Amino acid sequence: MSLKQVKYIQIDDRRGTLYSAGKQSLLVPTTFIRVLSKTFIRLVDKEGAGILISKIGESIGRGYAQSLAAILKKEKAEINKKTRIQLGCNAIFMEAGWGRLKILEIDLSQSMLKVEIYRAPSMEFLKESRYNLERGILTGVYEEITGQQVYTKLLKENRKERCVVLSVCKEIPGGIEKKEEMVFVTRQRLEELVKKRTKELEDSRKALMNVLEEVTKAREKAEEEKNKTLAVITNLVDGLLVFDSRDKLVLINPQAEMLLNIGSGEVLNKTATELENIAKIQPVIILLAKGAEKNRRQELALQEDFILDITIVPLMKPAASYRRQKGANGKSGSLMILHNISREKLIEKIKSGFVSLAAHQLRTPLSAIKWALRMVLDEETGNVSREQRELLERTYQSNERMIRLINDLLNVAQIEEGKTIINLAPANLDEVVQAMINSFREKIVLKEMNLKYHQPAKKLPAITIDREKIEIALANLIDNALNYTPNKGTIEIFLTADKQNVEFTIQDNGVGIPKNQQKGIFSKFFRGENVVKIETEGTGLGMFIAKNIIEAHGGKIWFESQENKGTTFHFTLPINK
Amino acid sequence: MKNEFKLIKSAYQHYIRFGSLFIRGNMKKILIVEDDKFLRELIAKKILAEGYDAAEAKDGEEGLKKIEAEKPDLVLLDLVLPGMTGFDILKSVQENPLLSDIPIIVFSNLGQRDDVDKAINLGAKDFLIKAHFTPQEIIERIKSILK
Repeated sequence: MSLKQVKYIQIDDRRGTLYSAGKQSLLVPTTFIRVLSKTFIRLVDKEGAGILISKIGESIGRGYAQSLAAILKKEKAEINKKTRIQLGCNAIFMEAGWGRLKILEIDLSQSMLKVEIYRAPSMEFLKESRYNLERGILTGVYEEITGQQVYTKLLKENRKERCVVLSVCKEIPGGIEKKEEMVFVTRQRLEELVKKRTKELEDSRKALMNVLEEVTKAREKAEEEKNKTLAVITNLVDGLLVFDSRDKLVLINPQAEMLLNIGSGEVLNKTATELENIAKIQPVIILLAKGAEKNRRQELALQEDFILDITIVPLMKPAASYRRQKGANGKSGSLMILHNISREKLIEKIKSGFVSLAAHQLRTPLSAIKWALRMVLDEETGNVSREQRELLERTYQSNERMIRLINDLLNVAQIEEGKTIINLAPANLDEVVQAMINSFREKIVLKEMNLKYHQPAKKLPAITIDREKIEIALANLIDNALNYTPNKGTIEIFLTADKQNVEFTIQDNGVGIPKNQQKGIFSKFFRGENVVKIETEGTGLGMFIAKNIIEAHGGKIWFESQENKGTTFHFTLPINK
Repeated sequence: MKNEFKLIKSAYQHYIRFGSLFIRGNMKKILIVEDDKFLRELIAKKILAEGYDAAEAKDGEEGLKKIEAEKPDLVLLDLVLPGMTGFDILKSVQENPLLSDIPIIVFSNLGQRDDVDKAINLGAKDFLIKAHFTPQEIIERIKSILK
């Protein structure tokens, strides 16, 4: 059936006119009826809340529509005074969600309805409900409501939430005092809400559990870190002593107890001053008292064959916290590491002894060969033919080479033992250089070399050197220049000084060092490829030794070289040392 | 044959020793303490050829005995010796006022700074590394000390 048969369309709130199909009008000041669709009519109050009056055609039929129109028409004169409209038909239903209310009375002036909960197949009435529409949270007491008669006011309809909020009172006492709010909600919706709420609770429980778990984890992690650190400290092969900022011993690991032959009970939580009175630990504690900000390392012989290498590390506070505490030096304690080097020292001693012995054992037969050959060559045992002399002379040179190799090996052994510099004394480098050049006089003449020595313009200041070692370095440099420059070549030696350094330069016009091999020149057993071809002599140790000697003196050594043009070596030695 | 040779050698040595005494009068005696027989013989030969008297000792004990008995004008002393070492001899000589004036040249194949210092501190006049010197150079050192 079409709406036109309903006879009225709308009550215009502003004009207070109800237009009907029969051109009747009725003044309804606060409520109007809006035609929603073909089969639905809605009662709406001025805020726009409303109730559907459903399925006009089917449920209430034409009769209802007509009677409603008739009632409205009949009561039109009294509508301002008498606001309650008794519906002559009980077939007005209101849909709230999927529930139905049978409208018993409509009080248009108060926007009140008396309704009977006609059918609520899957609905419950929520008494004392608080429905927070924004948050979708529903609270209250659920009650079976089918068959109840209540007065209700239209409050809100929330289509999105599929529920209607009504105010409910058992009777209308002349006023509209609101007693309860009532929410109709479907079971399904309720389940959804409960689920949602449960989920929220579950979520917050989970969140809480997570927080708890994280706290537990963090605690476990901290515990684990602590255990790890402790395990590291306990199982360290080195002894470890930790002092706090007031030099109180706060930690000693078992290894340190063993090395010092002391129980932790005897020493723990005692200050350095107290510990100095304990004989066993005293020599170690004294080192701490020397107080330095930087790491220190020291060897300490507790007994003749029991030597510790002791490192003292100041423990600094992180820079940030250090800055906050002005005036504090930032030191939060000291760490003392005891490393047992007795075995290394013993090996060093054995090695040193071995090198000495080897040198002796090798040199003795070489000395015999040298002397015997020399005496034969000097014709102390009779005449030597030219051919014999040539052979013996070469044998003598081979033997000399062997002797030099042993010297070089001894020097390398000393360097590797850390004994590069042994005997420091002031010396005049000019004098040393002169002497070294003189020692090569014979070779210079033999090779017809033009060797020029440019002495320093002014007298050089005396510098502190291990003369014997510097002589070795000089000899290696001069010998190389002589060996690797063809006969009649030129060698120039310069000695200069500025305020900080003395610089020695030796320049030759010899074979040079091939570019691709220049990198390796200062490494052990290096020999230039071009040089190996022309000169079988040379141990490949000379430059390694020279570099180590110069650097041990705090100097620098470097070179420039061009193949077939020549080589220039420089070294510097610091003056004020 | 062997005995004959020994006899001749002995006679030769006596000739050198006493003959030279008659010829040159006061001949300087150098004691060589060296365990290597060949080295000992080589240097003795050189020393004799240079007109000195040479005495030989093959180990430390014999060396010290000969220093005490023969009072040589100079000792060439090896350091590494069986039994008593060269250092021991230096010490004994230094401690004995009757002997402490005898110059000793240490004549060794050790050559590390420690050894050199130790020998010089014990009164050695010079320290020669055998392999670094020819017999002629050794004689020159001897000459400079006996001057």
